Amino acid sequence: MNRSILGRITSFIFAFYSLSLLAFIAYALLTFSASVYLPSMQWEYALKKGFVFWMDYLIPVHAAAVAVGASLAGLGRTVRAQGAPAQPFSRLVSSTLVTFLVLTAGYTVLFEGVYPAALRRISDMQYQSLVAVEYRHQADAAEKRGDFLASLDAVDRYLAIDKGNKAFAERRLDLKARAARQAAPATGRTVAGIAGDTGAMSAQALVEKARYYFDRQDWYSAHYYAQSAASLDPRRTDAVRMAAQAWDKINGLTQAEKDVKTANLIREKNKAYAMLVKGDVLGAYYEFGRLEADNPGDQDIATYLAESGRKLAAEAFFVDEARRMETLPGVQAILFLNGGTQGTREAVYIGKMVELPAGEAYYYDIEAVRYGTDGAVQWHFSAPYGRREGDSILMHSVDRNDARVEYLPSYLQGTRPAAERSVLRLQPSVEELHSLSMGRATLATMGLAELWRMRADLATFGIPRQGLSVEMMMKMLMPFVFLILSIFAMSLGWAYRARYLTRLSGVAVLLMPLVPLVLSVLSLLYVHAHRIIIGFAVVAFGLTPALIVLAVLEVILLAVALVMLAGQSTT
Amino acid sequence: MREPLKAPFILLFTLICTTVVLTALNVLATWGLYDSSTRAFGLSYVLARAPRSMFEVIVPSVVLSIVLFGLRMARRPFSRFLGLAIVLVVSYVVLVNGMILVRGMGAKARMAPEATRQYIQPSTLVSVDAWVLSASALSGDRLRGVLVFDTRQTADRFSVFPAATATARAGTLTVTTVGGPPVVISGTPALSGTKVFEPDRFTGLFLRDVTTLSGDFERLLAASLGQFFGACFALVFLCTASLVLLRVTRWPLANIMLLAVATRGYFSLYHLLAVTLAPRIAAAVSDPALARLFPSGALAALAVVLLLVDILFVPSGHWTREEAA
Repeated sequence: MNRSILGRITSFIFAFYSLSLLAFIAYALLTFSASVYLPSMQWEYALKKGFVFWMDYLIPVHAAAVAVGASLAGLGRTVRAQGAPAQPFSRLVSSTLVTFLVLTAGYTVLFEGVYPAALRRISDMQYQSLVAVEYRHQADAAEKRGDFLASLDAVDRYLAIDKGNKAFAERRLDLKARAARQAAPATGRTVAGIAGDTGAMSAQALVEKARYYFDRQDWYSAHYYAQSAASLDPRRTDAVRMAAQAWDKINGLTQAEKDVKTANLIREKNKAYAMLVKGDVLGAYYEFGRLEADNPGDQDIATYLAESGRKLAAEAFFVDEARRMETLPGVQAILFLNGGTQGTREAVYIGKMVELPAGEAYYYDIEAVRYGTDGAVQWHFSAPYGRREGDSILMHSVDRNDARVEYLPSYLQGTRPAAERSVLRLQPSVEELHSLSMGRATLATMGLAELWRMRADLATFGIPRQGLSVEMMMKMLMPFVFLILSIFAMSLGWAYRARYLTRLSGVAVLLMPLVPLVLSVLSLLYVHAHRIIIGFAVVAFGLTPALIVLAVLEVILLAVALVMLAGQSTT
Repeated sequence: MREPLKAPFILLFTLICTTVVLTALNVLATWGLYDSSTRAFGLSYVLARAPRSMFEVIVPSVVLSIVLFGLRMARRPFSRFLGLAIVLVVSYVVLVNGMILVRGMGAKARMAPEATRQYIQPSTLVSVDAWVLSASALSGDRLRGVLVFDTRQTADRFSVFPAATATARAGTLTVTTVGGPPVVISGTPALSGTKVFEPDRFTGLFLRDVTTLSGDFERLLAASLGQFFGACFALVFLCTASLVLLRVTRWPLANIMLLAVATRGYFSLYHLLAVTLAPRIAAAVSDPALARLFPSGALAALAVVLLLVDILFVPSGHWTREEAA
């Protein structure tokens, strides 16, 4: 008999869990919007969204399975002999209670671990789709105006998100060829689209580059790249031939010509070095970069290029890095009050923040304002990109190759001292920024420990602390709801069990979906009643007393549920 | 045989319990949502607010009690017509008298007038439709150092104003900036406590339907006692007649689910009739009472149908017949 109740309930739990998960995945698949998400994300979205729905309604689904299982536990049983003693109900359900405890533990793990991760991924997919559409538009626009390099760049970024898109992969090949043709007359390091490094280049690219320098009568560079191509692929006789021709030309230079060339190089090196010493790190970086492209083997240039690059990292970052990270998952629409000095306040908006494992973080679409308590604006700026530098955002970004491309904060009102103009100090930590994202869904994507850790500081950033405390307590509550409603459902099912049915009729099967439906409404009301009590306790007394109220309430409800269960009869 | 004698008292006890629980929840939610920023919570607040809260929850309390009592009757059945009469009379008396009595007491304890502080607190971000506001300081309805963030913009989203005035009426907050060309921001704000007490979508719909029903009953009570009595009777009659659903199949759990679905459906049906159809009828007929009573009339008609189904198609021992055979 004991095994009969447990067996019946577990088989219904398995059936209800499986069917509901499949139903939710199917629903997510049917309601998938190709205008919000990329079509390639359809299955991933369906699985994750289906899981999220399933977790949202797991408590009523579980309660329904328990109630139906208990209600049908006596189906087809042998009738107890007249006068034979009834078995105590507590003995019948002891193993079921243990099962409930195990399932509650499983639910807690899923609710705290997998559920927030799935929510975060869905949010990221939505953002990535938005970004991909933007890249697609950029690619289209660039291609339309004949800028194939820019179009190729946008397509590359699109493919970083939508990796399996064959149409875009083919388009990329086409654009690459057109961009290469377009890039041929370009100057300096942008030749073949690659900077001085030969490590990642193919023999063909090296030969093309050698030919470019050969045409410009830069025999040293032509010889260097032709030699590199020949080393990479000894079968390239054209590379060997070009290297020999370049060497002949070098040998053919008159001493005067060599002296002039050397003097020019020294002068240019000195000029770049002076820039570095004077603090024009960006200018020096580009100058050494240009020299390095023209004189690939020069040790001085290589040393100072590295040095200027190192110094540059302290005052700017490369925009291609920020763009590359933009497609990664991150936190969106972050709005907060950022403290401020005496008598002033700051407000900051960050469109998106992407964190990297090493503690790095990139920010996108930044806007900030500082104003006095009298409403006078001291400064107001916006910046497209930012990178984390300690507790600040560095908003100066530059192109790795093109000195004309530079992004700085654009001041809409007021200004700041030059040294501070590209830096914004943030009061919240990167971790705290997660919870400052607009919209309640963000809190759902955070674990309990994370919420607990940051609760104290968040009020200073303009977030009502009470809302956060209640969310945290509701997260603590859910495992109790799961367990207590399991026991209530068991009592309900057993109290109203099908005593007079010998087998499950067709009508009963048809009516079965009503059980999770009704229990959904009831469990949501039950949770809402808890929200009112917890919310009141938090607002009136604060978090610690509210925790005590919650604990007492759950103990009482658990006791009531167990008493109800114990009171069931087996007759 | 003692069950019919105990039944009215048990029903009355159930009614008292459900009313107390729902009233307590209503008081807590009302204080948290509307009054926490202006009044302290204490015994005086509870005493002042409780009658109004009781008035607001008495209709769902009666409906819930009938359902709960029906569950008891399903386990301890007695004459169905006697049961129907007991439930009908006790529920009707409690509903009608309760609403009339409590309304008088609750009239003195109306909710505090809306105050700007309910919505805006210094140095806190508050959402008003597509905007997010923050004020450096707040004095009465005057705000100083007002920051406005427009979520619809893609650039230049922040605006700062030296001062503004704010008015709150019927849940709509209007902020008008002072100094320079006035900018008006008007919309539904997220109450300071909204995030705390916000119900989920389905519970929100249920609470909306309950509010429609209670609000209509309050208006009927204010307009005409006769109409009010009629509406109360229709509701109680429908809920009582619906207890037939507890005997409709031989699987008791399914019967309970049918009753629960039906009861939830009545609230939605009433909302549909009162909000969608009643105005059309009011436009078509000259007598306004007819339109006011139309939703209750529809409920009464449904109750009669259920009663006929009970008498004609659902014998009292139907669901225990197999065991008896």
